[in-house]
Amino acid sequence: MLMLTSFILTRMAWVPEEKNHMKKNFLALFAALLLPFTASAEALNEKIEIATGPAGRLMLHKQQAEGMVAREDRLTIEKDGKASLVFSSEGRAIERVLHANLDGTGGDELLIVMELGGSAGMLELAMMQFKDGKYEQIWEETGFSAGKVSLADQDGDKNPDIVIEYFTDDTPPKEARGIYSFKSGKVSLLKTLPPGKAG
Amino acid sequence: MNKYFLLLFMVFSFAMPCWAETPFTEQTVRLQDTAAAEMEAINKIVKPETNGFPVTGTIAGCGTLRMRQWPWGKVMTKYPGGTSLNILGVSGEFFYVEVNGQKGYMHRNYINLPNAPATFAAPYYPGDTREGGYLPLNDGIAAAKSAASSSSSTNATSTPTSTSATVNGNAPAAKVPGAPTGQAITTKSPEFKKWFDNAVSTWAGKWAFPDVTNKYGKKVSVEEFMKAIIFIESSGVHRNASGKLTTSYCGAQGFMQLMPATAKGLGVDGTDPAQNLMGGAKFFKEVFSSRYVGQKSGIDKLVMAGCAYNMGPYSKKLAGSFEDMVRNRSGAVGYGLKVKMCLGLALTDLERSYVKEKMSGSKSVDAYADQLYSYSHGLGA
Repeated sequence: MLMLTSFILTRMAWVPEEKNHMKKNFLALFAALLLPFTASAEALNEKIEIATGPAGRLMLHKQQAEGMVAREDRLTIEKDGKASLVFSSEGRAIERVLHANLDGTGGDELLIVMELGGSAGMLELAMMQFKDGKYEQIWEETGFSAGKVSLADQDGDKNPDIVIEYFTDDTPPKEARGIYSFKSGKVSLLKTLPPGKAG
Repeated sequence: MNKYFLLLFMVFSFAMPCWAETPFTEQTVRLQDTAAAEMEAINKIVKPETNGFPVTGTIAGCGTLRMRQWPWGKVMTKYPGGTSLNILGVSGEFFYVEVNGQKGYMHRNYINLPNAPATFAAPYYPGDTREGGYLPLNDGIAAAKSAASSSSSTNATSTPTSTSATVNGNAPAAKVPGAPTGQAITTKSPEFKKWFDNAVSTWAGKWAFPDVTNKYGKKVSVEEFMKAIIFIESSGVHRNASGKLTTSYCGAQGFMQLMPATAKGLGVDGTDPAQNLMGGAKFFKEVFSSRYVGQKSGIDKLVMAGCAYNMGPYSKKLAGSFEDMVRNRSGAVGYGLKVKMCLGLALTDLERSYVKEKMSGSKSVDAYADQLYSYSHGLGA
């Protein structure tokens, strides 16, 4: 496509000045023909800085092919001109990355919130801990429908806990809230609150 | 008013000996009995019209709908949009409904019947009922009946008329409810067949669709599968009679309940009915070939494709089989079971016990499965 473009533009340079209108029309037509090819490569290609720390700049790359639901999003750490992969979404869409020191030791943990694209609006979560100079995945949880995720201290230890409000898979679905705590390198379910009074 | 106090006195005098004589563990059961007895006593006064019922419906919209003890009565609980209902009768502007064994009254302007969508017309709220208050029993019944007789904005059909179409073998007949009203766009809209055929012919040939025969000895077709998904997702209603787009509690839209981000990824406008169907059919091309579903075969592939459509095709929960999902009671069990019943696929004993416990309410499992099969096959017919 690049070669064809170069060839046509080179030939157009030889069109005489008095036929400029022809030149303009032809280029417009050519651009219109070219547009679908350029647009079809990627529907989404964004790079967002999430945070900066001693390990480097934490970057989120959102990528999606045209006409697909699958997202190939990646989290990377960039430092000294080098990028290293932290997490790959494997089809899921990374919508939020929350970072906070959840256990009160070491650096910030990353809580990755991913949308799955299905009709139930389900979420999956992954948690990464920074250990020995790199991020390691220590938790993955799935199946929260229409979930809202936030970080707030729920057990009074002054460290933020993970609060997830979601709908259960019951028929009919019920509103529920799960509270997860991260202590001693492990994420555990602190409590599940019974379905609240909706609406 | 006197009747109401008499009713309460009857209920309490009926229930008190049970409380006095039974240990704590049995009191819970007795209280449930009391609630049922109370409802029965209330219904003797409300006297809902039950001719033409029961029918299946869903709560429309993205909010929640109150369930009351009687028309404009005490609020018992609330259920979110998308909740399936067994509609047992009607009293004025309220349907008498059952949800998962719990019975009560819900305002019918917010309930979709198959192909008779909710109107969403705002009712006149008597007293402080808008804020969750209630009217005494007789006042509530009177207000609901009076509003229904003076209003033309409630559901066009309180009891949907049905015709039947013959299907092969001993399969339940397809139920074909009446035509859409107002600005409704449903599977009974004249253009639906064209949109549906266009979506299926464009994309279904590209699905890695498994070869599956149902319990009636009939090969499951791509059309039946697509209709099953439309029925489960929206009861076949894209827009209601007021023109309001069917939207779930999580924001999914239209016939196939596409999430806005999903519709964007697929390159369609999910609010447009033709594009919504096209987008859903296109999505299934990706679903059937996705990492987990693509590795499966036969019935498991078919049912897990439905679960993947509901959960998202890249969910880690799809790694196992549907049997694993049912055993662990995690993921989209209810959705997968609806897919099976809509397609006439036999249920295992474990699946039947799940349906009985969580889905079919007072119906038998077979009657519930037959109803889903009938309605799903009646879409667009």
